[in-house]
Amino acid sequence: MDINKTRTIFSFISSANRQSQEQSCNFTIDYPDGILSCCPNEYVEINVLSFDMPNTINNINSKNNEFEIITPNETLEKTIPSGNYSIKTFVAQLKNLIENDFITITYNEAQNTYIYKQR
Amino acid sequence: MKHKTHTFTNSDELIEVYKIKPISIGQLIGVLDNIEYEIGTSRYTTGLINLTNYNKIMVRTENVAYYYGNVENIRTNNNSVFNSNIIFWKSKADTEPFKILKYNNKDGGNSFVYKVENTQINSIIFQLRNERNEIITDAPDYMMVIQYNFDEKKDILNILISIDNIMEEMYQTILFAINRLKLLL
Repeated sequence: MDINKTRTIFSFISSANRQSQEQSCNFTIDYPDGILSCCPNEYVEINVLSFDMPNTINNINSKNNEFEIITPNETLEKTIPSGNYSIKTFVAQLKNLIENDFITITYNEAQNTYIYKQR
Repeated sequence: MKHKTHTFTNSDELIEVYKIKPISIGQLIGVLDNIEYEIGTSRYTTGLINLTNYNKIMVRTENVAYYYGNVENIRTNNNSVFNSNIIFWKSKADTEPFKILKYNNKDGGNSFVYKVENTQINSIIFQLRNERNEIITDAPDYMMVIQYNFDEKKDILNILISIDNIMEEMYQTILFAINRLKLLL
């Protein structure tokens, strides 16, 4: 089927200008009446031309940042602060949280694992 | 003379075993959540470390139906394939933290071009989701440019009828030429 482009409409969208009750991850764009209506012999295509977003999404957030250390006497609940961690900054944070006189943590670079050891 | 001796015995009760129990970090350190792992004096080695959490940033659209079923098996975990409403996706891991995650269709390619079934679009809901189909609630604001191309459909039946007419005209022309040649002979 041969096609002829009849018209093109660009829609420039900024999630920052969403309704106040909406989130940037879930918002609605309302188009003026009739602007995106096909004539009887037309169809429409959507084409994403450009997308820009700062990569500030944390890899450690409130959904994946909790663990417990269980000692013979007590259970210690630990929470890693949200942030963007690399393997080495993550192990540093773990050390801050749990390394004490009893437990050490090291990163095994060859195997990409963490080693916990009781002293 | 009676000798006084002391006997040392090994008692398990004296060994204090520490344990780690991931509540929600299991996926990051390659182990299961809510299971206690003994650290012990020998050592405890985690699974493979993967701090990516999730990688894909996907833009989904609600209120729009697409032609010719773009499909996906992402929305369920039982490999069921459904029509897709994803119009864009990009790997977060390709961009350093705190840099701009960007896509520009500079060459006019058709990587993210979708034919729409609706003949009228009044509103579109845009959702940012990851590859686990979770809404990315901590996503920052973003900018996006969408192009709507209106294309004219050409009816195949009319094209075939016009071809038929041309063939008919050619046949008549040849027939006319043959008749004229007979007259000359």
